Amino acid sequence: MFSEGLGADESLCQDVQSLSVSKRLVRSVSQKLRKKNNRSAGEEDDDLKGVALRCLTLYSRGGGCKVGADTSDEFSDSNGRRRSSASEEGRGYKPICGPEETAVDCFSYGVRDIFWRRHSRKNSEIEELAANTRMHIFLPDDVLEMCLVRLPLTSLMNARLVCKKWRALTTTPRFLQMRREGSYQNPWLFLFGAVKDGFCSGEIHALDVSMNQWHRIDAEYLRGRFLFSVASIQDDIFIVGGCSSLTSFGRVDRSSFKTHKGVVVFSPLTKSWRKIPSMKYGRSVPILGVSEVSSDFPTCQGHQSRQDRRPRSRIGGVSDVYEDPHKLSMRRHCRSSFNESEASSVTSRRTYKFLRQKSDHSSSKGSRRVLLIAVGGLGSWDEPLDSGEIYDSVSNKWTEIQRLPFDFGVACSGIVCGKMFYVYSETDKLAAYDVERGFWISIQTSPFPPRVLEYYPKLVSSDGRLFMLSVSWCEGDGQIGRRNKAVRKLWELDLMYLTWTEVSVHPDAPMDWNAVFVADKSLIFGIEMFKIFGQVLDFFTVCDVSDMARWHHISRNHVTHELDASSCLTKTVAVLHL
Amino acid sequence: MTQLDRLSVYHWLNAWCIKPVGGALVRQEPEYILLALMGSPLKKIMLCSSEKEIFSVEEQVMVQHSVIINNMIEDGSYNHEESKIPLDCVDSKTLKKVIDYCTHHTHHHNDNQEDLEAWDAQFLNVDSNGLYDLLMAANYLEIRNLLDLIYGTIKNMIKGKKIDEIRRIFNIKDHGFTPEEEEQNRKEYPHFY
Repeated sequence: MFSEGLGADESLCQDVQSLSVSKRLVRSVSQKLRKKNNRSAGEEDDDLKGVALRCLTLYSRGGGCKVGADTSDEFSDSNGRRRSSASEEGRGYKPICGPEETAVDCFSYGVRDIFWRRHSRKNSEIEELAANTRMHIFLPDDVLEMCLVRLPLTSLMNARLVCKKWRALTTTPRFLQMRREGSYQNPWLFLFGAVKDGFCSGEIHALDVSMNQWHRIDAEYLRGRFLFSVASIQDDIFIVGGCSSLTSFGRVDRSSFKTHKGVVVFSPLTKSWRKIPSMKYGRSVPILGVSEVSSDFPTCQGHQSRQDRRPRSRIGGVSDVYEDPHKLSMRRHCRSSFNESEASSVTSRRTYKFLRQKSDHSSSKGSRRVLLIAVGGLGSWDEPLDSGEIYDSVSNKWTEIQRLPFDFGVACSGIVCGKMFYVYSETDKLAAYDVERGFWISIQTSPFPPRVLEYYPKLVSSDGRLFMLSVSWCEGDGQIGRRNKAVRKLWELDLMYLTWTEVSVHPDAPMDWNAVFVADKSLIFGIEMFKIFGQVLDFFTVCDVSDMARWHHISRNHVTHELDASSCLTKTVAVLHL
Repeated sequence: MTQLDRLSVYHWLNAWCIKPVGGALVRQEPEYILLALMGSPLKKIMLCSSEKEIFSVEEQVMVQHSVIINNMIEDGSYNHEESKIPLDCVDSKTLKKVIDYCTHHTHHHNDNQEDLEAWDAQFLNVDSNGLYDLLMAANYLEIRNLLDLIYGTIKNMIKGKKIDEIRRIFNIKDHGFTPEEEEQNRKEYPHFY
């Protein structure tokens, strides 16, 4: 048996050998070309980064640099022209030392590099040949499973198409469970809100962080929608609210627009979309919080009635008359709303009971239960909202929750951490919604250095800890005519003592006031996009909070050079572990 | 091989003027000398391959890596003076390799990650038959880290490769899809093929 196998191998080896000479030649030529292209791209990136940094200091000194998240797209050139102009300008500058090594003496470095590359290429070719001549006679299924479970997502998708057996092996729930538990999954970033040539293209750009590869997903459903919010949990992304223009379909046009109440769920693994019931109020850029809870998690939603009868404040309030123009008088509306809220509290108590009964049944099935909270955002007339709603996947309904605290202000960021939904306001107030008990708590924390006014802090939760990214002055304090330097820092809130401590400093100068920060397990990803030198650049950074929280750059400038500057405003990101 | 106690080894070393420096000696069976100097008794166990060849290995090495052998020793069914563990599904060549792996990892577990990985890569530089035999042996003896290593190697043969190539490497002659399904897949994901 053994000798037969060896014989087959040998003859195959010989066949491959005879083919191998020409193959090797072809391969080496294509590799040479590919490496050359990669190298030139890498150089360009270095120069661009050098340019970006250089420009930032000029800007903060008040120099004339057109930088920022412009909504107007003045440089609407074609992609190719934009890229070449940037690199031309880049070559005039000498790159400043960054996290990557930059060549000082380029000529000798280049020569050395070629020698090294040629030598390593020969070795890798031999390895490749050896790998190709390996033929497996037979692998038992359980071994195959153990090997396939270790594959990253794109290779797994690939493996599913190899043969029916492999597809069957990799789609069982047990296999997927094993893959989830064995830490073979990696984070994927999904960038929404891309605006191309003036249209909300409905494209989703997905970044496979581990392989540093971009994928593009066409999302018909999101065409024409902008300023929605996204939240991710397990394998799903919830897309909530948003606007779409009424006059010029697809364009980011805020002169006449409609605000959506609709919520849709996107599952990237199956590339499927499904609708869930719409919210009660239409919102754009709502603050979202999502968490997975056990089936018998008690949610109390009947606490809103009493507090709602207070007079509406002008800041962050909603005028009752405009809520429902069909109601004739304020008083009548108040009375009816009181009745409604009483009735709803009764029904919600009933639904609460009903929920518990229902959950007894569903817990036996082991079904997942997801709670999605949406608060704030902008309403149909662009007015800031202070209402909130919660969606329960078990009852498949939205229920209104207590409004934001009285003098809270406009909510600008929120995240779920543990059993609380923390929300931060534009006036630097922190409040938390207790999901279990159904009310808001105002949180008094220790003060921290004043922040740059236009940059609203972003809350992030990772590893059960609460973090905030805030931009503050490290040199000067924003006065015109002085040298000012701002820096973005990562702070952590001690949930016991309510004190803020500085964790780390973000390496990039804060150019994007709409930077998005999302967390996946113990990683925090930062996504910044801004227009500089007529081109939209994106900067992705990541830090590991369980390990010193040092920030690293990932995937520079790969996707946004095609996009309009308004994408910086409309962008929003979700992260999934796939 | 007869058991030598520490004193005997010390005399032997002195007689041959071998100076142990930092525990590393370039000599036959250095692990033997090493362990003797560390003061632990050098218990050896006998493993018998399918070809009836006997291999003598330190008990500590095999017990650390193989769950099966660990269980056998622990429940006292192994008698050090006379018994030998029969491994009928492992041939001599593979058994020697497995012993080599376990021994290296026991003695070099303090090495840095890169060196260990390089050694592992070199160790697995075998043809498909050898890899298969190692896999079966590691599976039978339940050597977790060797199994993980081999799974990882096979995974790397799949990762990043096109479907036609994977089918060739894994000798999949019949993919089981209907011609329509196959055509559909090729149209939908051309970059995978």
